Amino acid sequence: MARTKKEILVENLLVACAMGLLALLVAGVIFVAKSGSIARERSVLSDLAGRPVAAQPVAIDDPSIRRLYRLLGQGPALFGAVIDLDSRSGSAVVAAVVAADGQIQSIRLIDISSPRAPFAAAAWFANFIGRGGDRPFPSRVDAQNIAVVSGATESYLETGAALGRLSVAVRALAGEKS
Amino acid sequence: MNEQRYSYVPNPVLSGLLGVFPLVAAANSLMNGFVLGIGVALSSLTLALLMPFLQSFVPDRLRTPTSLTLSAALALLIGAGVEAFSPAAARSLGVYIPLLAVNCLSLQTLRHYHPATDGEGRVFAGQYGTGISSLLKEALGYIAAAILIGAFRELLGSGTLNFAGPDAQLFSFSLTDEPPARLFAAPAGGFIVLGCLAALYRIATLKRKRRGA
Repeated sequence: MARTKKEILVENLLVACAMGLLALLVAGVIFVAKSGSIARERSVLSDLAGRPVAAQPVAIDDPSIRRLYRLLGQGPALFGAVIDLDSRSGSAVVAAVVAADGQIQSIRLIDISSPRAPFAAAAWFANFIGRGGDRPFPSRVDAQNIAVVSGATESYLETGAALGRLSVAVRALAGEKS
Repeated sequence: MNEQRYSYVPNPVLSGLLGVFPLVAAANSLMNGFVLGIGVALSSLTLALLMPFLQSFVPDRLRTPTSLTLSAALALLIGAGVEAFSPAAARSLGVYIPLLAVNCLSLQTLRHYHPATDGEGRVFAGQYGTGISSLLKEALGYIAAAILIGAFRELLGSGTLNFAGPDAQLFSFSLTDEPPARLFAAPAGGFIVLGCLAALYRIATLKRKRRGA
């Protein structure tokens, strides 16, 4: 027996409602999972800077910067960021503390996909500390003289470029505030 | 007769070359292979389990878009799980996690594992059981192939074998100080490993058939 248009419309609406409920369920689960990751990142940033982290991140338009926070508490203005870094042999997620003039104060690895990724080397980030304010980030020529960079010059330059973009973003943000 | 037919389920990756693209492109480590294998297996098994409900409650004309929406929802949930488990692994797998929604094994599930129903839409338990059991074997075969491909590529391409949990390295093995052949970490190496494993699998299958004949 052929169904009327009204019956078909009701069927369609019921399926649409079920899909809407499914979307809400998925959004809820993703929200819970993401909250856990964000809490972990905030705790690393707070530990690294020794200061509390602002409740809400600052909106930033850079695909490699996951989240950028203002760091609260006494002392000079500081910002904390969580950055994604990629190389041919693996990816890493790092936390970085940046001064208002864009100088990188400290960096810590949060997660790494392979211990053979260049970011796993203890000295990898050492040459970026103190860069970004008056001191420029290492160039290709500088990289040739750093032992840990051997065989991973492109990844090193990309790390410098990502931290450089973070530095510029923090300077712009601090400028807006003042 | 039917039992004999279903007793042997060929490996979907090594025999049918099904769903190989993410394995060749992204499974360059044991961890990535494990995550992709579990993701595909979970996605296709959950879809197969949900099929009877779709068949009972969703009209024929809406079943395909509904199944695909479910598949996309599963891929999002798996993606959220991987992100929570290891953000760096999620980053290195990139687009291959959302692409689980249209993985060949999941699409094959949608295509072939619609269980037979009687005139009133009720599922025949026997036929459904056969479908699920063979799908389970296929999913386990996919996980095994993904882990093997990932492990071989990591050993040859990086000279290490690692598996990390959310907060700690669960095990770590270093074969050499320098990567023996970086090519194996690249997609070209993925094709070579897949080809060798597929050849070994076929040799083993032929021997098994000859022994059975």
